[in-house]
Amino acid sequence: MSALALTLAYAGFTAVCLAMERHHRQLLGRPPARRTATSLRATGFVLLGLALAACLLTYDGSVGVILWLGLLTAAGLALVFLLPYAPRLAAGLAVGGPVAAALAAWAAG
Amino acid sequence: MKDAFRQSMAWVHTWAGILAGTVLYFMFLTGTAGYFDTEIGYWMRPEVPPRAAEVPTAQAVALGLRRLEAQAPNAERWILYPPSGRDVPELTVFWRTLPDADGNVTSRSEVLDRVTGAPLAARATGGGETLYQMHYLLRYLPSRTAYWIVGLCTMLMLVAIVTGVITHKRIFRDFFTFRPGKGQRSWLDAHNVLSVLALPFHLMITYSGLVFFCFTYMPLIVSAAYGAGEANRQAFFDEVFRRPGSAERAGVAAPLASLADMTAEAERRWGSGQIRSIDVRHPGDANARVTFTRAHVTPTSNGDRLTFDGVSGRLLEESLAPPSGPMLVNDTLLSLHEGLFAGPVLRWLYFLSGLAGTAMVGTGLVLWTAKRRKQRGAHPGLALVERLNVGTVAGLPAAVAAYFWANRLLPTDLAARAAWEVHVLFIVWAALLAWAALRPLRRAWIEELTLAAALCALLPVLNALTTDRHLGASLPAGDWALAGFDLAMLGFGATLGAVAYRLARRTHAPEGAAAAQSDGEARGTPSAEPA
Repeated sequence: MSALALTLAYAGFTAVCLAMERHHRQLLGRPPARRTATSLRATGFVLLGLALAACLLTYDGSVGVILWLGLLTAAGLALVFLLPYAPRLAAGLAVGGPVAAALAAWAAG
Repeated sequence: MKDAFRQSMAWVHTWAGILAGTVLYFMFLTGTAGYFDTEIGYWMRPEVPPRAAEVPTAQAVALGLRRLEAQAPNAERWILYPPSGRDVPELTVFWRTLPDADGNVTSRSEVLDRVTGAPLAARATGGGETLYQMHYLLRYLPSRTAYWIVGLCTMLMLVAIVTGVITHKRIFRDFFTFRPGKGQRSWLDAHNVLSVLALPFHLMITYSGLVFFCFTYMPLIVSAAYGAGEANRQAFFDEVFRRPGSAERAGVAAPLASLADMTAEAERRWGSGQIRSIDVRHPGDANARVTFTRAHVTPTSNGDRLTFDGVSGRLLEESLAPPSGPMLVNDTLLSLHEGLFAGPVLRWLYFLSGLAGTAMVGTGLVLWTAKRRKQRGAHPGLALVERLNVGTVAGLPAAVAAYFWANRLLPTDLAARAAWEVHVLFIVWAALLAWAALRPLRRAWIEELTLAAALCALLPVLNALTTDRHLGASLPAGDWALAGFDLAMLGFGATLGAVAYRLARRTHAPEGAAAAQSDGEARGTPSAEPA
């Protein structure tokens, strides 16, 4: 469940990041349309919220929130330092990560 | 107006950071290592066998009690720590004797084999605890002096955090921005990202760090209500921190009631494996008191205690939470700082945030010199800070690695061996500070980073040469506490090595070309948005 929360936080940050002009250019070579930017940002915050939900499902309230804050730091640092060196991988992980973590959680029962 | 305010805050940020930077870097590095103090201690005592089978708490308590009765029949206090997972992996006992004829008091602790109850023999080492204690006690200083130095630097850290947030005008716009290979701009990006993304941790750790010693830093608050002087101060502490149910020594002998029964009662209430410590005051006295504390499971659970009458065995007091609101805030902040409640995942996140803090201070120190050199050129103050930076930012990691080398290489029968491990750390640090002062600046950076990388990366090799607890054994056994140490050292070695390599490669490029390139980029970047 922690892995799912981490990958959800990472995906959330990636979406928020892509909604910004500079990073959208960096990945896709053009600025985002206004509507795209808005929906990316909204998706991002929803994903960050889902990460919090995943933390609270497995841990007691206070520990869950602390875990979430820690995961946000880890996910953010991973994204920021991956982005300039391997932008495609950075974006791919945002999609692949939560899927893999969800499958793993499902397989583990 | 707004810009003038921001500029003055930038000035405060810069000077708070540079004044305290070296000490803060030391505190962050050793404190971060402290999140794995138990695991480091395990690595540093290779004679201690891998964790054996679980034993029932009652059995461990009986073994500990037998040892305490044999070693310290005339004690003022006994504490037993039954093995309870990560935090207390082995049965541990502590005792403090009553004053002898000359008024001397002896305190000792021992780690016992959980099956036989015999003391576990291991080399004398400071372990992870000494490394962790240095982040607030420093070393070679009276503790009061150390608390004041640490407190002053922590206060400057708090100032630097607040002014840093004010100064950082594109805190959201640059939230994900890191542009490598652009000289000073890259350092600034890294400094910003490391600070902002771990901001909750930085704020929490700094503020709670001050709370730890608030009665040292703000003695007048106590004096205002209780009066000045040591006796009044003690009266305050007794009132605030003394737990209900405590009693003075009666001076009349009486046998201790069954610890086994009390243990059973505590486990009935909390569940098995939940007892963190059993504190016996005045054992063998008519006023004996036995207090059980519960393992930390959440940041607010460290108030859970059971106090028994040590002679009748009757439960006197059950306190589930701190007695007052302020006390709860105090306990929660300290608990957040120490992170004792953290399981494996959260522990690694604490460690990562701590590393981010260390790197934040390190990048901040480097930035100060890069900016100064550009604005004002060389002068003695700048040269001093530049050398200090090399010897600390690159030198201290090498010195900490040397502490681990000393653990494996110092003869096991050396007198004051544990102290010598620490001496090695400071000797190596001092030598690297001197080395940084004598070498050309860039060379010094490359050499010291390379040395730190080598000391880290070769540590698992040294471990394999000197013990049978190396990766070849710990990985197949699935002993992750042990393997994790070696793997983390390999990781640090690779990271430090990569920085050294990049720096060396850039040095070989024509100096003028590199400078012109980075200047042009700094001026003409398209990302220089209006504030």
